[in-house]
Amino acid sequence: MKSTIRAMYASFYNQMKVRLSLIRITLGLIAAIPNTAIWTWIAVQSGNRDLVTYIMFGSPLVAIWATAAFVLGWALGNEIDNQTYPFILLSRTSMLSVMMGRMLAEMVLAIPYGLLASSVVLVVSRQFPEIANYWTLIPSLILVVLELVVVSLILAPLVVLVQGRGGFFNAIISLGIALGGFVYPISRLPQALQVAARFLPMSWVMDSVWYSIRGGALNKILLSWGMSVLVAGCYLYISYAFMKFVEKRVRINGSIGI
Amino acid sequence: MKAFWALVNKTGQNFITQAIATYKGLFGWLSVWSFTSVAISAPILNMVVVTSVGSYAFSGEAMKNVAVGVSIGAMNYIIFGGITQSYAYERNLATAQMLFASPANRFLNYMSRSMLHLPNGLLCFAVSLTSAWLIVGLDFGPANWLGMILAAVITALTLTMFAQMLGVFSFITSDWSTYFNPVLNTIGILNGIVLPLVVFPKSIAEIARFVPMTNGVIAIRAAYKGSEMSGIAVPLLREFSNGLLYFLVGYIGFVIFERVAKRQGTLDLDEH
Repeated sequence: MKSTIRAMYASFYNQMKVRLSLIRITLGLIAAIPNTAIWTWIAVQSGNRDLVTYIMFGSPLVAIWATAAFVLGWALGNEIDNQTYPFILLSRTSMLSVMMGRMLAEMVLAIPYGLLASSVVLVVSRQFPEIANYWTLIPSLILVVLELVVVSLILAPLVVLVQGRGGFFNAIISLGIALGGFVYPISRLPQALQVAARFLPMSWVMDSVWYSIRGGALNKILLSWGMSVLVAGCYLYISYAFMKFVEKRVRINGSIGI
Repeated sequence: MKAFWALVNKTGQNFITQAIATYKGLFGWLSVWSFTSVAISAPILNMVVVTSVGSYAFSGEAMKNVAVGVSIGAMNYIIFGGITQSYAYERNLATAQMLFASPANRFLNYMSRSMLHLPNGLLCFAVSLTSAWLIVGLDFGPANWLGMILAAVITALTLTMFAQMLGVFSFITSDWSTYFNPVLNTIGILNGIVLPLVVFPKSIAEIARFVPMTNGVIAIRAAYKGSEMSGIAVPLLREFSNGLLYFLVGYIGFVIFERVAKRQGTLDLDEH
């Protein structure tokens, strides 16, 4: 257990070191401003105060999802391309704990996006958010960030297994934004897409964000949390199985080229 | 006369060869999955997102107006991404040296780089417009189809010229992904697709007229509502003249970069 935590810390530190570039973070933040402003403007036009608050918390998740899917998605492929994957195979540390460390780093890096997006919403809407239940909102937000990174994790072995090339994540990122319910409640989608959305843990937990803002019943919030954790658990298990599969294929082939 | 036609023929062949080579060799999204992702799935999903969130604020004609704008905006991603990445890969895959060493006509070479990316933009527009028709029920009855097609082609042309201009920046920095989203999103807020220009202060609204697509969006919306060609001529001319301006700036940058790189003996200008 101690060695796993040490490995997670090392990969966390490594990920932070790689990703902490002032210019990249600044440009990433700049990129998040226009879309947040547009969504907020739409919400203000609707006169729906709850929607403005929902977008305040949801819009940074779009930027976090896009970055996490892209960065974590290429993580394993980059290890193979840069010839650092053999070190992971030589080590007794599980690949999943290395990826978990990276995942945590992505969560920490998400904080500035959240702060910036909230400020943009405040400036554009000129209104303070009204939240019915802070005590359920905060855990919901932590859960949704955790879950969108868990979903990103599955992409890392997937891109290696299907030999994905540049642009591989474009549809996946768009699909996550459409079905994740970050900027509108899932109930707004056509019926067929609502069913599809339920295969993403974020769609469940975003329900609890909506209920927390509007003052929904606690049992509904707990149900959303439970379902989201269940679906996220499935993703985590599939990620683990995929990573083992990649490792097995590499060991059987005896070469890094998959 | 015979020699003249031989030269024209050879020039044309070179142009086509360069267009195909830069497209096939330097466009990283040219696999079935990646291309389908960008050209088919992304425009449809983007339309779903915009109409879902937009349905809170817009209904009826206002929603259709936004959807038509979003359709033409769908060209953005594939044209910007495709062209800027091809310039960055020209550096990263070390093929720029081949170009600099060859006597190939630089003007034609510069032109050839966007030729095959332009139809991609039009494909995205067609996919997005079809999804808008299915989702919000666009009514094409009164539409001026010739005007719509003309607006789409001129806007795509302007976008390619703008992407070429940014591409030169990618060529110099050998990077495209860092500034791709900030530029794309900044244009997205100023081009009037969702936010009407009247919400901005006058000075910013005027600056927005120099942003690629802004005039194209005005033209295509007017054409969709059935405006005559005379009604869309002014925004289209403005869109086209913006394109020419981007082309000129980009081409000058392309030529200057080569000269400076040759004089310094390195492509990494930032180190000197």
